Amino acid sequence: MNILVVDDEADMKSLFEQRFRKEIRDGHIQFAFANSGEEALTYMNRHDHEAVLILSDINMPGMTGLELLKHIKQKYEAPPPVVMMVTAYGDEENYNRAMELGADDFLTKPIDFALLKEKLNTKVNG
Amino acid sequence: MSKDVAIELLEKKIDALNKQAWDVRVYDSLKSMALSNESVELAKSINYHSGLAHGLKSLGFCLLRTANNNEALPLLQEALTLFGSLHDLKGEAVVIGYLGILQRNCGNFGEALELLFKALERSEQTAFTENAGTDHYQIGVTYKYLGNFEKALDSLYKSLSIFRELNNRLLQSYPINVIGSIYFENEDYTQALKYYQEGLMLRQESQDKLGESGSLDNIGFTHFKLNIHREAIYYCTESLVISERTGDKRSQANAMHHLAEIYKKTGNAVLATKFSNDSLQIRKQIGDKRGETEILIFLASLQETSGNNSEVFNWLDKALNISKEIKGIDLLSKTYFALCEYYKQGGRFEEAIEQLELHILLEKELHKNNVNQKIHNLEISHNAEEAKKEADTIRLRNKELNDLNVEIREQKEKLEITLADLKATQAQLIQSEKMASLGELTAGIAHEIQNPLNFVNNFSEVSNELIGELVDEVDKGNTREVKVLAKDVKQNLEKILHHGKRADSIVKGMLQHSRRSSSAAKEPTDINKLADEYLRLSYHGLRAKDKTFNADYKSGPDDGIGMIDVVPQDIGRVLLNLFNNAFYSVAEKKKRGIEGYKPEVTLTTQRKENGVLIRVRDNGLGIPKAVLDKIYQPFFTTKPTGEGTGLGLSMSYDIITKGHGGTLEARTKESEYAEFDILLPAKPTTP
Repeated sequence: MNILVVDDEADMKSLFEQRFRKEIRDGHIQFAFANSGEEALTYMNRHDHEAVLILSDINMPGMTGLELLKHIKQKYEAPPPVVMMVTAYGDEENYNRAMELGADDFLTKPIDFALLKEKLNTKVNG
Repeated sequence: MSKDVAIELLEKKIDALNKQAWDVRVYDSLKSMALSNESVELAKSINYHSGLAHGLKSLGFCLLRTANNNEALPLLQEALTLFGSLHDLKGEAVVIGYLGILQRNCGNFGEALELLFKALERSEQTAFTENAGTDHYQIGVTYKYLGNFEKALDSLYKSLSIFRELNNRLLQSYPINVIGSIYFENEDYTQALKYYQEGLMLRQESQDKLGESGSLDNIGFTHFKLNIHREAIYYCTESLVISERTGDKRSQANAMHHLAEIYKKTGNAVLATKFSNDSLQIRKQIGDKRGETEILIFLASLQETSGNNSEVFNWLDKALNISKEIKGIDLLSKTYFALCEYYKQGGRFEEAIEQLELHILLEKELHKNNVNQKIHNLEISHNAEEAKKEADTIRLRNKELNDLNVEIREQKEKLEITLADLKATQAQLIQSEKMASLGELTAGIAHEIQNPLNFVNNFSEVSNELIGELVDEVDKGNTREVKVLAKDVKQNLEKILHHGKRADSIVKGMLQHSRRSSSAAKEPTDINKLADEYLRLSYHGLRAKDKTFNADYKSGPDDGIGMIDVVPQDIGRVLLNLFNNAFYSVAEKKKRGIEGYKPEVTLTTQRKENGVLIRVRDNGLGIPKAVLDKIYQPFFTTKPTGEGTGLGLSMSYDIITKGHGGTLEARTKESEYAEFDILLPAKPTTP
């Protein structure tokens, strides 16, 4: 399973790699990281939407996570990749907006990795 | 005892003496004179001006009362000068009034009126109501002397109404008595009696024995004029009894003289002679020359039947000499007439005619004098009136000026209140500006803190797991793997510490932002880090508030800046302000839907020769030329009502210029960009 993590926080890479070290070691999950919405789109174009799942932050300089979400859900029709929003701004307005734009899930920071793993299993296998 | 204390005690003693002298000045002028003499001497010895002025005032009054006008004049003049230098207008009013009475005693009625009007003006100016009443009274008396009864009554009634308002019954009796005497002189004895009786009642009530005996005598003699002899005798006798008790010789002699006249009229020659002789003795004794002459002529008239009586001739001869001595033309004329009668009784007709001719000559002169006097008096009254009118005009003008001053003062007070209100409002607005930017901050912070927290929580948990694995690998003896895990744990702990500190600085930043900055001290600060932090805070704060908001931000730090001394929360506030404005401007521009527009806020820092430049640039709406020079004015804002306080840039300007000795400059092109340059002075960096 290819997962693209989009976040402007650089330490996100290290955190995911450690949290998912077993899954990575066992070859169940491959991670790619982008520091901005723009970078994420570039990656997706380049890798011909290899990523089946995108975990994206919302508040980022430049293109926001919501814009990225909108872009992905509009552009990549059948079937668009699963997009889960991961944000520190877990207010209702953000949540509703994300859902309107077709987000598949909505997680708040600090990330509960046990919950995230559970959701990944359901999203991918369910 | 120190010298100062001694002088203070002495001053207190002088004040006490003066008060006592003043209180008894009317009832017991002799005692008052002794007391004020003592206070004047003491006050002179220690150069105590106020005490001296008051002492001289009482002393002058007592001298006036005892007819020592010449002695009183210099003392009162000195008192006036002293009160003038002490700016004691009330003291001046009283003394000027006394000087008026003095001039009247000397027959200078014009000067007397002028002074009394001046005294009245001072009394009214200082709201010294009782003294104003006294001044009106003295003016009334002076007009009476001038024969101007209409004006006299006018002033006396004014005085009376003031004393009635003050409810001072003793003082009321004075104008009332003079009003009575005016009616008496105009031979309206019934009206005169009414006033005299009211005066008597008031004086009896106030225990004014001296006044009481005078009133009784007046009432008695008025009854005599009305031919009510029993009452006349009764009242005059009462007057005599009281004045004998008080030792008032002058009143005794007057009452006796009146009784003598009454008894003569009722045919009781024996009592008439007795009282005349008694009165004569007293008048001789007290040196009342006029009274002495009058009673001598009266005595002679009692002895009409004895034409060759040498005693009668002696009386008349004496009367002649005295009236010549005191230049009493009326008395002289009366004496000639009495001599004429005397010679007639004795059959000495030639001598009688001679005396009659002298009498007629004097009567003519008296008449002429009277006419002249009347004309003169009219002139005096007229002049006094003119002077009064002038004074009234000045007073009116002063009053108008005073009213104007009051109005100006009131307006000034109102303006001061408004100013205070405005200052309070301003303080509130400054506070709300802080709160507004704080609100933006907290919105950012509440969320922003979740980011470091995310790392702190998760790296701790992961590290915990890693430690578990590490223990397992130790058990297995897999040193290589142990080393790798330990290295990871170490890195994680560093990250935890880093993000913990990040969270800490976010919270501290918020707390510092809300704190008063004036007391905060400058400290070495990493400007790049500070600016970057606030750039992020501003951005995320705005994003938290407005989901649709988006902009790109870049920072181009000059790493050679080093640490510079600033008040971090103040500079933070300035930066936050500039960033917020910049993001606001680009967001507004974006809303206008300009094709291909990319909102961008750029922060750059640069080391300059003598300072550090912080530049905040946005490609937003820019600032119109027309308002560029107003942007630092407090309360100036281009934001819609309620969105901006208009204090942000004004506060920023103060912080940079006054707080840090730096400069804040704006460059802009309308609808293209705005660029704010902060230049903070700093010493060149030492490598």
